[in-house]
Amino acid sequence: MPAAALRGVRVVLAALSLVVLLAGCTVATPSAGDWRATAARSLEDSASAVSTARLALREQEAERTWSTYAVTLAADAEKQTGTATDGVATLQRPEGVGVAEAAAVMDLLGRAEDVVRRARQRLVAGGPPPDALLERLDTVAQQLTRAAGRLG
Amino acid sequence: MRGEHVDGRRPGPIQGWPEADYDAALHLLDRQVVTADGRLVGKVDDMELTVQDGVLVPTGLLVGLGALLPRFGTRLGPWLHDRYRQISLSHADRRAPSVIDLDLVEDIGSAVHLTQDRDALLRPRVEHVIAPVRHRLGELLSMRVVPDPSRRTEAWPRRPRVLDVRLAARPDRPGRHAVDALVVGGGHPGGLLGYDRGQVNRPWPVAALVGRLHRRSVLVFCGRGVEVDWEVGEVRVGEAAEVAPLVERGTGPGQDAR
Amino acid sequence: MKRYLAVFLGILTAIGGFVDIGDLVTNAQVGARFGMSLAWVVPVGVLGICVFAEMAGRVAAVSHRPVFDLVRERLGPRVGFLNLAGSLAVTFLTFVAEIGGVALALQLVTSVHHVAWVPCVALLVGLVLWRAKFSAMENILGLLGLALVVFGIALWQLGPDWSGLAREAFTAAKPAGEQWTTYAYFAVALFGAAMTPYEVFFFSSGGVEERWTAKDIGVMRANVLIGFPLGGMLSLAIAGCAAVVFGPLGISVETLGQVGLPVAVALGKVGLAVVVVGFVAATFGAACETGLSVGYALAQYFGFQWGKYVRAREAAAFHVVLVAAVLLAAGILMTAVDPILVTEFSVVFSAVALPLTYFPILVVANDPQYLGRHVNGHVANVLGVGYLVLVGVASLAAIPLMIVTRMGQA
Repeated sequence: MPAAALRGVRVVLAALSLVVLLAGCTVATPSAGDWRATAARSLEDSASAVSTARLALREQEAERTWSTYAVTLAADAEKQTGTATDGVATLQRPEGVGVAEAAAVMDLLGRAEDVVRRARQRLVAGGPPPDALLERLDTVAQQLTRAAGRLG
Repeated sequence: MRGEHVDGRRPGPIQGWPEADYDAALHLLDRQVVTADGRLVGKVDDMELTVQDGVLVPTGLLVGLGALLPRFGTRLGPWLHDRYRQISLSHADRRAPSVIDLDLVEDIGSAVHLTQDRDALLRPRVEHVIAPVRHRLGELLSMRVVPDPSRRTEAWPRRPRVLDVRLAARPDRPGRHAVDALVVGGGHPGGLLGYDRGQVNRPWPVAALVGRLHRRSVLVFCGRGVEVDWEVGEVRVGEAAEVAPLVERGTGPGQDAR
Repeated sequence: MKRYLAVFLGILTAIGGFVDIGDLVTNAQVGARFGMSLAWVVPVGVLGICVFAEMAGRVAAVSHRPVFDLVRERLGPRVGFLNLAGSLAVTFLTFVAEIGGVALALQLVTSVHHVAWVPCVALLVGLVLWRAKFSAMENILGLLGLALVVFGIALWQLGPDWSGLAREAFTAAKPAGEQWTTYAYFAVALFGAAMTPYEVFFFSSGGVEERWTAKDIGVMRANVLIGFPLGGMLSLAIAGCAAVVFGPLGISVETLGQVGLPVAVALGKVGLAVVVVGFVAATFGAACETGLSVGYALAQYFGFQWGKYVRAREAAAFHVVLVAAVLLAAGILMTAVDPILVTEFSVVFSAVALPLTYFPILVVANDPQYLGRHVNGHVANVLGVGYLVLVGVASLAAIPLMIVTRMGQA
């Protein structure tokens, strides 16, 4: 192949790859399906964090861990619930998703944040956790998992 | 870190240095250089070839980035080398790399062993007023090979290039070598693995694949009809030149009796 | 007697040194999410690292050439340099992950945030690399790393449904809710975690430094062929613990604290304390090994003096590289990047970079001019070529799978 033709091919290739790259740089507008998939993933992550916090609280009560370990676990779980909530909150609600549906998801994620925060506070304060808190963690985790199952 | 003998032989490609023949790129380039006190000084980044009585004779090992960078390809190499020189123009060794005289080489096993310690070992060559003509092996490797039109009927590789240089011990000067032949191939990957020269033949799938890529490689014996044009960067193979297939000979250096 | 003791010690340190942050995190993640259905990858990966390390060790013993000497000899300066850049990047990423892992483990004991621990850990790693006696460091950390055996005890204490676990492992049954791409992605990650390339750089360079000869091949083989598989058992125990405790609760493993939690459930505080000691030893040991491997790779490509057996001022450039690597790694971790995320990247890119060093070693291990009668036998070659294919497939598949599954989140 002559050098000029080779250069031409190269220019075309470079232009093509630039177009492909730029095409990837558009703003994502989620469809209803995308939104639900993200919401389901966030709910699952949140459920995982709530279950972890519950396990940490239970093991600490049974004196099978020491408090710094349990506190670290709960603090990480708290951060995870926050990240999960952000994942949905920062996503624009598309046409196909009802206001009530979105609000229900946000409400559940908010409840998870709240209950994990209480678990962490209890672990920092020390002393046996009230049974109600363990039960509450359990309930919220189940609610989250069920909601995720409905969406996913 | 000297290799001990296994089965009565030293691990490494060249047996019986300095009497043995060897292929410069396959057997010596990029090898570790070890001093007499067992310290590591660098790699054989390139080789110095000197024109003596009309033949190319290896005279030194070139060490350092100034020798290594030009070998990074025909375009990238000079560009990198220029940038490297610009960083400090006052350093002579960035232009003319340090050289270790071949006389200081005691033995070549899996590494190059020297007779000297490493203190102040590396310095650029100081030339006399009447300096011999010197080239770098790196320049010769990857040169285009242009066969004479009368030779087009032979099975040459598609885009022939110099892949390696075969150095033969000189009968007239014991312990000295001279460039005897050029290994010419299509520039496919795997030329330094040893499969094309019968040095390694296992594992079978790899050997078959790499061997196939290099099946058209030939040996071009230096001498009549072979002209190396250092300015243009090509080797012209004339009608009178002696050419032999590399694979059919199937022998490594040191074993082939020409 | 003394000789057998040395072999025994070598095997023990090989077991303790096998597990690093990548194995800890990946095995726990996979166990929690996939149960034992990906357990088959661990023996495949362990056999692979045995084949690779045995060849590299044999080459080092007979020809006295470590891995990167051979990479440059056989691939030339240009391809060799690309190879160096790739391998160096992955090894450095692993180095960052290991230092982060030590910091995370210390956070579990003190609840001081891991970023605050990073400078201390980096300083300590730097000091060990600069001053500590090599074999002492390797032995102490390797033996302490054996503390991770508690994962096995914990699994036994948890009293799982053994036949159920075995069925999962042998049928390789993908859980219903997971995609095949995700399954494949985690298979590649586990493979990369078991076959991290730095292990071989470190192993072969260590062999050259300790002046192994052909006579040491037997001991080397014992270390590799007994030590690594037993280390692989630890990996399986970690996965098993996570599967039993986290699987039913739907917990996904995102932190180092979660990795140790099943041991607390099974064995209480004492078990947990032993696990944390194991975490610190395993990650600290691996941090030293990866740090040295960064220096080894660079020095062996460019040919300058390297090694822990010569005084620091004899190998000044090597030690400058080590100091720079430690500073850079600390700097990256001080940006508060999550070390677990770095780990996830490092195991996948390990799989990507593996063929770069695996292939040249396979070729040299067949070169009679280097190895004489110690060249690969039939078994080594059949396995060697099989793994060449496997390693190539994993390497090509890794990045597409990573993109398609969004690092396993889909």
